[in-house]
Amino acid sequence: MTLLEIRNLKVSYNTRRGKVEALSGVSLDVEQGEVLGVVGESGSGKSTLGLAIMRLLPRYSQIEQGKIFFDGRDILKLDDEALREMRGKEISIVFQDPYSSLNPVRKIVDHFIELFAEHGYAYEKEEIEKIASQLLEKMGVPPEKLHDYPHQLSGGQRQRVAIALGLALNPKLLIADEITTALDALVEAQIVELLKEIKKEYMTSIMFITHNMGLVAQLADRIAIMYAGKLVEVGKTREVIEKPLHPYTKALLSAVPRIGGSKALQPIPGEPPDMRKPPSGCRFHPRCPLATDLCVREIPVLRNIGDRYVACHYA
Amino acid sequence: MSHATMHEILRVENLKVYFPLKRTIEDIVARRQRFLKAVDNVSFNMPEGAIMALVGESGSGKTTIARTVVGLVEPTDGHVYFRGRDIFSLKGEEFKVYRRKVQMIFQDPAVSLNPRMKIGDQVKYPLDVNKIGTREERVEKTMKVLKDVGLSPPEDFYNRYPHQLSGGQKQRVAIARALVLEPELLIADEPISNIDVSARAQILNLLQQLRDRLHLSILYITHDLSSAWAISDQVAVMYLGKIVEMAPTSEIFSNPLHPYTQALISAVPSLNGFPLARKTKLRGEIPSPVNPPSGCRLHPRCPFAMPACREKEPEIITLGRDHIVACHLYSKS
Repeated sequence: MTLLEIRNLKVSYNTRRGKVEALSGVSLDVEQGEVLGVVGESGSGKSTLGLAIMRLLPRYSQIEQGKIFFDGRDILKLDDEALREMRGKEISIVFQDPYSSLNPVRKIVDHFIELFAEHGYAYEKEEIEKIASQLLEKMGVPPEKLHDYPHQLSGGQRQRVAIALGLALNPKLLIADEITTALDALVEAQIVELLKEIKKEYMTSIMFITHNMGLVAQLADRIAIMYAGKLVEVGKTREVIEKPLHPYTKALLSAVPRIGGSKALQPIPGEPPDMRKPPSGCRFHPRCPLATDLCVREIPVLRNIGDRYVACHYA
Repeated sequence: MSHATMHEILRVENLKVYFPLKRTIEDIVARRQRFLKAVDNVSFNMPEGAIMALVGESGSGKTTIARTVVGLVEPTDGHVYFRGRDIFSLKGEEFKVYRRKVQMIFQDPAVSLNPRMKIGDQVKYPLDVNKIGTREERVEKTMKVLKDVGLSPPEDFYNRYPHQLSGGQKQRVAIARALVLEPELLIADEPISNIDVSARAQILNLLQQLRDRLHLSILYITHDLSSAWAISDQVAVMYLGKIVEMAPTSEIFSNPLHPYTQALISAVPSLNGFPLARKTKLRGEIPSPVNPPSGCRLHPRCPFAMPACREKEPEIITLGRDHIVACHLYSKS
């Protein structure tokens, strides 16, 4: 069953140097209970996608076009009250830096109290403490940390608390936006393990936004690859990694050193596009080894090949 | 081992760098001064023309070693020898010459570059400061270095400002600025962790080319094992201020001995989903270096910990030709 349906989403930001389109017509589904990896580099639009779903886009941005259906309702039509209800209860988001998502002058337990109060649960403090400490324990944080302040926790523990807060109201979808990027390698691996367990135990759908293909390979059922505000390839994780169809996906996979693999690194030539004036036609064409006149002229549509979607004239 | 016959460029011997901590009331009452032991008795050497990777998590002391080698931090104890001379015994002009020969690049080029200065001017700046050559010669040299790092055509890049460049290009500028004084040793502190995936391979390839073309020696500091695997000849793994294992790159990845090295390698996410080494899971997270555990510093987290690990600090053991490890699992006694 499809939980989230994004249709032809266009989002732009107003900057001092003019309007920049961050998402240029993205259509994507998230199924019930699946982990979808959204992979892209900075400027690809992957974080904008997460913020748009949460309706947390900054003021200097606008949704130009498109629809986002969640459980049958169009999120873009919800009023403030309905949005408040939705956030945390239906969809949660966890960000890269757990330091900035937790309030430094409030104890961990107060974050839970506020969350439940905000959503109109009339629980006693003791009840909330019980729920929160069980949740923390499941996330691998000693429950006594409930009465500590964020600075008394390690980086990994803070991120586990942020995830616990995200899951406290049992949402159907958890958006994880680069949540391991600020963490050390060993802690990163632990958080990925934790997400695997969450998926199994809570049946929560997870949208895992990252620049790290290796992490997606550990976790995601499907991958969506983004480049310059567009989806270039969507498919099952194993299949995309073993047989990438889009030249950008291929390039991305061979640009990363793999221990035990070839030491001859193949960098992606050129530079990421200036999103104020994105390239014509296929946005990857200035860096693509296969590019022809057609790629300069015509925008490739995301078309269906088997159970894969690819936006390339030559796939 | 082609490098074994070459000259040694850098030797770090029993290096200790302790930072005094702010004294609390208890400290004052007890009349004591506590220290953060950022680097605690570290020794290694680097042959000329090598790329040596210093690998570890945050708090392991790798950046402090880098800062000590460039002379930004004074050691508490121990020595740093550059081509056989103790750098902390160098005075005046000699130390200045040393500082020219050892250059450093940092993690975030957006921060290390001056946003209001033209690219060319900042690359040329070290030449101006050191009053090297005439103005024309300096500009010419700057152009050459810009070209060397792949910013071509250099005339085009000379007049641009940092904000007009991508992250990868900015890091190239930082490298150019480090190279303009023709250093013999380059210290690269996490040079790829803040730039986009597609530019990372470009920077790694550039570092290798510079080594080959200019015979530059590179101390490559990173937390990313895959990149260490791709470009280095030698890897030293650090944990809480100490080197726990050091070996030639191919050796350490095919035969990691220390449980910490094994854990780091097996935590690298592989594309096929299978771990790259025997799965070794450590408990919890890296503790604060202010109060490191007794004995072997890894023992509270190590799945193989024995009573000896809590009591006695493991000695450094040499196994095979040049594989060293500090772990009681390999002690003879």
